[in-house]
Amino acid sequence: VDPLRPRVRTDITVTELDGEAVIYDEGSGDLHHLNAPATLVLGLCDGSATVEEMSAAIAEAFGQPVGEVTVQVSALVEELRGSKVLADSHEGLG
Amino acid sequence: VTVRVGGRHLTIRTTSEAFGGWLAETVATDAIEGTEPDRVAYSIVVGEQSAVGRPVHVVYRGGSEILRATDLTRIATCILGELDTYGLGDRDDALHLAGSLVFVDGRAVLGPAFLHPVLGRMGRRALRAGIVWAPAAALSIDLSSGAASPPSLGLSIPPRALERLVGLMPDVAGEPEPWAIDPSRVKAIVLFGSDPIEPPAPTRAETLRELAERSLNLHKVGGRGLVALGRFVEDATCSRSGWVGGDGWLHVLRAAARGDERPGRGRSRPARRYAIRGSEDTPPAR
Repeated sequence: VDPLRPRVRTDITVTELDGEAVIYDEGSGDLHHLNAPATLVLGLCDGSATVEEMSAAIAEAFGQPVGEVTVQVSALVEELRGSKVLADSHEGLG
Repeated sequence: VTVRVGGRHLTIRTTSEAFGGWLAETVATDAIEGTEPDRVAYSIVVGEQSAVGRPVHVVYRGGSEILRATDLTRIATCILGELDTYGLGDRDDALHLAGSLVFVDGRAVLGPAFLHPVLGRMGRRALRAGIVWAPAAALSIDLSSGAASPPSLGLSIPPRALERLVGLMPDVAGEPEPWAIDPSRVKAIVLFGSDPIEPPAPTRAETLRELAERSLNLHKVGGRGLVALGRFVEDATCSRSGWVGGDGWLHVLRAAARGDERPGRGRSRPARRYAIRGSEDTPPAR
């Protein structure tokens, strides 16, 4: 996994309702709830884009300053990484 | 009678020798002897005289009344459903949740589990209000369709056990009363919220998370349980109500079945809070 291009773990269950996601991690038993903006970011975490690229796309789509969006997306990605929702950067190496 | 279900020992006592004999035969496969029951126990009073003239039967969980009915098979179904609930956490045939599945004029509504004894104590008053409820404060979500139904009994019960009970005790068996037992799409989900008094309606995703947290066996069925629960929630109107008191819940359930997102509006009141001096939250007494 490219540590600069976040990717959602493939072994967790994500269910979306009305644009909001609920995530279940069978390994840990943890449940997570993401509001609509966070779910949008989660959907972009497919391993193809960097945080900066995701932020630029969101900023353009919603007409928001890219700097502000980048700060929020970065914080969310770090939080999701800490919650083990995103694949570990060591995964798939070697 | 003492039975072992889900690793727990549960003792049921009854005032009726005939009913006790029937129960002992019915749960014989799961019955145990010579062990100390733990603190959860049930008491069943059979044939209590009532003001309406018909014998009334009452089920108690611990010291709390959970069902009052003139139909003895309803009492029997209730106690079997209650006992079965303790084994739901070990099963993987469906996603099992704690909650009260009720039908309001034929529309399925899911309410908090504590509604079960609230309705049970009302007995026929709730039935006359057009509300029927499931035998136990639990429901099963089908893993394929997301449809809800009362859990199928995991206890080993002899066939036609309820019919045999009516044959044994025809004088006090009473007239059959309805249960909510049909698998169904749920029209509305009412979550409980003690603060604030009139809490805002939760999103469907919030509802999904809260129900998942309340599930008894998500760890057994894994992610497919969450997916099934998502199907269960996706078409329902989700709401939250504060505490509204006994009859207030009849109003809340009827309003929720009509699609009201704030069914407790104007009726909710703060829950009373109690604390035990010397607990972790309070300084020790001097």
